[in-house]
Amino acid sequence: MDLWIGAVNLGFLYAFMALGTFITYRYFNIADITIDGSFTLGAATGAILIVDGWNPFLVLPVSFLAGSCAGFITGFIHTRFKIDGLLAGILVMTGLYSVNLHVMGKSNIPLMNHPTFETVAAGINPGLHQELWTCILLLAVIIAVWLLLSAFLKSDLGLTMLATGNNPTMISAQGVSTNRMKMLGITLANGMVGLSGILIAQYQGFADIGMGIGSIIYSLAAVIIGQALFRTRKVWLAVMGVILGAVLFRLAVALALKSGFDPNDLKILTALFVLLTLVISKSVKSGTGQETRLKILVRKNRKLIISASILAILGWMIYLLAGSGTPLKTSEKKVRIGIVMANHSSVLTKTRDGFMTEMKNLGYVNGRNCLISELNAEGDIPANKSMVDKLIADKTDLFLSFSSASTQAVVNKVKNKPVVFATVASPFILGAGKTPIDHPANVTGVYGQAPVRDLLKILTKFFPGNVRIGTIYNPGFPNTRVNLGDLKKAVKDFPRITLVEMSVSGTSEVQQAAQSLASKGIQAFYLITDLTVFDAFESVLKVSRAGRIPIFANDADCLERGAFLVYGYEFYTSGVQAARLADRIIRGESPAGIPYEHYARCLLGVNRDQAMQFGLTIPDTLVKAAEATMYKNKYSKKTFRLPVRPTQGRVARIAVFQYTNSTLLNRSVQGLRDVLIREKYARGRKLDITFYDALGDYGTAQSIAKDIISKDFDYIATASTLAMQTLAAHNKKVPHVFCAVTDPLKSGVARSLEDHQVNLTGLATPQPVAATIHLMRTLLPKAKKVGMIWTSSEINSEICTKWAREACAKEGFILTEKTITSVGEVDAAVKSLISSGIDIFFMSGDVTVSQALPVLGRIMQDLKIPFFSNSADDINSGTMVSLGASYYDVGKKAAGILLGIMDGASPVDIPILIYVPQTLAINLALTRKFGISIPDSVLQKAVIKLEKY
Amino acid sequence: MIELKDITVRFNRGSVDEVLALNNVNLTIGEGEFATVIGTNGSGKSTLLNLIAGDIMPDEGKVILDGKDVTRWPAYRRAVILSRVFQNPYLSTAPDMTIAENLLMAWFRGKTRYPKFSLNRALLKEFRLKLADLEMNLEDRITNTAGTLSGGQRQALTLLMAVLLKPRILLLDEHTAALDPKSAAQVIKLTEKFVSSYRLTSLMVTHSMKQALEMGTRIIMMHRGRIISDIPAREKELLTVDDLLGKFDNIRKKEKLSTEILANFRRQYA
Repeated sequence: MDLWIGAVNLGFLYAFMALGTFITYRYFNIADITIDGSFTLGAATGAILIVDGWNPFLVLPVSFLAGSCAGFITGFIHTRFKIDGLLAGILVMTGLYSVNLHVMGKSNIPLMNHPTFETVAAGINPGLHQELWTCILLLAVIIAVWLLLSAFLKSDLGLTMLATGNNPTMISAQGVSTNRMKMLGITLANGMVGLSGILIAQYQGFADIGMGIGSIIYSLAAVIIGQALFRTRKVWLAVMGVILGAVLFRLAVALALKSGFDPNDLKILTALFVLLTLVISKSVKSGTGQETRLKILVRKNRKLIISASILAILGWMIYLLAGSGTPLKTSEKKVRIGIVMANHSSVLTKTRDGFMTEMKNLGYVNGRNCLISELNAEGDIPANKSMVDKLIADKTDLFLSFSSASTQAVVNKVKNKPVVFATVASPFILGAGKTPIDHPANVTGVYGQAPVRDLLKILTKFFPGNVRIGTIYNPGFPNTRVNLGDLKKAVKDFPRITLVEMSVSGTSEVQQAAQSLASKGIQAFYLITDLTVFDAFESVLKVSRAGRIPIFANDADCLERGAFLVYGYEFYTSGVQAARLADRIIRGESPAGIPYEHYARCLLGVNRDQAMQFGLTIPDTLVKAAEATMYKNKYSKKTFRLPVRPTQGRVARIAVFQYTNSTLLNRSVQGLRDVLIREKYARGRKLDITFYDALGDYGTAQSIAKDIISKDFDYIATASTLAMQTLAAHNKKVPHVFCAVTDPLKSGVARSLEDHQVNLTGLATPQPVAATIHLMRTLLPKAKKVGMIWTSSEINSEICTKWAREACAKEGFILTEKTITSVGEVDAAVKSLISSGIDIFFMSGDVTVSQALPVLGRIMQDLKIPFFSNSADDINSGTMVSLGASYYDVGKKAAGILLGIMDGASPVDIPILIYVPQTLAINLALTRKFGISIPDSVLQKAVIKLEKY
Repeated sequence: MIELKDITVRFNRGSVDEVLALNNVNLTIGEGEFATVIGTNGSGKSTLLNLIAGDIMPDEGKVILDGKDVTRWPAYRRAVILSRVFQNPYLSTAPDMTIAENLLMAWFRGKTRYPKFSLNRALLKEFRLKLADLEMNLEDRITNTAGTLSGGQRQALTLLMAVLLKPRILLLDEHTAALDPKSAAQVIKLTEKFVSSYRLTSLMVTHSMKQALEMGTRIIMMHRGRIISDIPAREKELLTVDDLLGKFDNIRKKEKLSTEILANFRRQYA
């Protein structure tokens, strides 16, 4: 039933758009394609404001206005520059794509957890079925719109508009500027379209960059059906016809879905349908001239034909409705599983295959003990919603959604049946929950973001010097934007890598983008997970082969298709994981208790053939580690069996909290995470890990701490002093392991290494400040001034600075300090330091300053100021000498302590460990450039020797 | 009322097809005058009308209407001052709109239109009365669309629309040329009636010398973008069709045109 009422509701909402097209098409004979963009613009503007806390009704006029602006521009271009209406529309529509992306800031805004007209309507629901209640309210609204618009079109101004389209010569002789009238009409029409956009966004629960594509055809179809229904010059009937047309069109789409129509064919069917109605209505209209017998026949029996077809459609619908009401008796005990997929890309197909195979392994046979129906939206975003409606109408018991777009549609609509998603980069940006455990009660699934940083690291092994890499992406996909963001962020930590980006809006543009990248002198392609680019992978491959530019990809399946090296999650396994989750739910487990799972298999694959062709050497370690190989034209892959999860013991829930997003803390958390993930998947330990990052904001840190405490985690791990302090202050109960802390004794959580807060233990990693300053003296005997920046609110920094003061006094340096309160002040502090004439720049343990590390590295290199720091990881970001811990090891060690506690150790019994996996890293290229000679005694100690910068 | 100063209009400027459509034309038509314009094909008479209406902008010179310099005004703005009737009856009415709605459009000539409902009973009654004046039984068909009317009926309606608000200037562009003789006669009758009863300043382009002699207070003869003769009312009354043809004959002699062309003129104008 929901399918039909849902279709009627959609019809009502699309009617606003159709009425807009009615004005431009009927009045000015322009098929205004601007609406493809203004529809999204209305949705985008409204959605942004709703997220900002606006009332869902208050945003309606704003969206109307936004749409109007788009229309105004089209009108202006059309009338002032005398450019054909269709072309003007195409121009504005094309431009709006970028505008919409800017307005939204991303390609998808979820409105799930915000008030919409539907939630407001639900609040005053007298107890009716929700969809029906919405339908009744919308009917009232649409009647009001019908009366208002009809009245307007009947007014002096409305009639003048009609006359403008009907006879421009005449109306301009009557003193009317036809340009102005047309602009008014197109503006008004697009306002209606913008309104339709935000209404639909509210109804479907999100605004998406692609939601407007094809609007013109849908609304033309509605207008034309309306025209066929009432062949009249009575305005109020014509307007009603358009509204009915929009509803009938949506019903027809629902019907096509319901009757098991291949959604592949939906578009050509729509096109044919519009064409047919156009031809018929044209032949009826042309009363003059020669008429064929058929035309005359059609004309004379027009009413008969139309009523007969409407009757036939209605009859069919009633038949189907009656049919859907009574489920087949034979299938009563079979689980109905509905799968929604966004498109036919290889990523999703693999997911599906993995799912299907594993379901079979788990004993599910389609038709015998379950009924699986698959629907594919073929890239049409609104179609996802209709498919969900269809599955609901089919009384589906368990929903599966592969891809973000499908997941969003399913999660927004399905509230009381279990949902399992797979192959979603981040369910959280879709509005499906905040963390892997804090999610809607009926939803669970498999997700994960590509291991971008790791692949970049592998890539640098092939290019010892500076390297330019190029990436291609389609900003239209929410996942892509996330992945690209990750890549851009990760690249910052690799000063030798320069990233060149190229965006495309469709598969046809991929080859040109690849060629353009090649012409910009890139040495490698880096392909993030992007459905468009993967679909057109062969285009990139062509350019890759021609220019001997290897392809590095985050998609494991690309190896077989010709990529040079892949490192990424395997989506087949994602499907397998989804099947396991589905199995658990079918067996009676509640999705509420099943945390979102991260992808289980990360696959490294190398193409040894191509290495020979391109003249690249694959390090032996990589060849050995590779689970997939392309060698002598044969693709081989090690089989992987997803470990069966132990059935006993409860899941341990761990919160991992880092204060900010700096290299040091990221490395710590990475070490920690890698150990835990390995435990989880390789050893089958039941873990749910939730990651928190306060992004350097004290207030956020406070709320995160409260959140972690309120969620009753079993274990807590923190990275950085501030994160430890914030949590330790409130949490005296849950076991807590900290790391990346300079001096826990000074931070108030312990009196001595043994005597500490009972629930807390961890690693103290004091920076070897004195040793570093001694090293400065050894390397730079003539230097006088050492400059340092530190954040006054960081206790760890204060400690390091104190040590630095003592050491400088001892070694005969003058220490110049600048204090800051936020990362924004680093720039000014550096300038002031430099102007005071420093010989050495020193950074030690300061989390805030380390956020600016790559920039600092570059500045110091340019000014030839030797840069010393206290974390070996910093060497990749431009320091000259770094002496200190490798924080990845610190994180791993902390994870070890955590695992010990899980196995029964009590934190109170574990003393705080002073752990400095001290590593000396030197950038030899820089020391040579600066003319600094390194004594052999020092050189021998260096673990990392960088030869390039 | 109408003042043209040193008007020059060139078509296809700068190309080999450049045509001097109006060549340094000066013309003044006083208030209440009814001038007819005659001339050979391509003489510039339609250009002259379109120039006054604002469809064509002059390359040089000034257009002053009702004391205002309107040289750079677009056509629709000039509708405040003037109204016009085209040769093609289909150009002057909106076919999909009713007679009443067409009249409503004329009712607001040169005024701002608001989303109000002005077509009330009182106005409909007024429109019916005015339509009755046309003597074409249109008053009973006021809710029929203009598309259902014959050419003559349409042109009569157009004429009514043009004079509905008593314009300062009325431009008639061979407005009977496309009609059958009976309808043409009725429209001419109506034209004379409206022009004289409203005392309208009018300019009428015509192909018919007879019409030019019978109607109006002044004849303007054009040839090759120039006004070759401007015949005032006194002189006009004494003229015959042959006199007018004689004037064209003179041009023939001046320009050494063949007699065949003159014969052509006779066929066309007499």
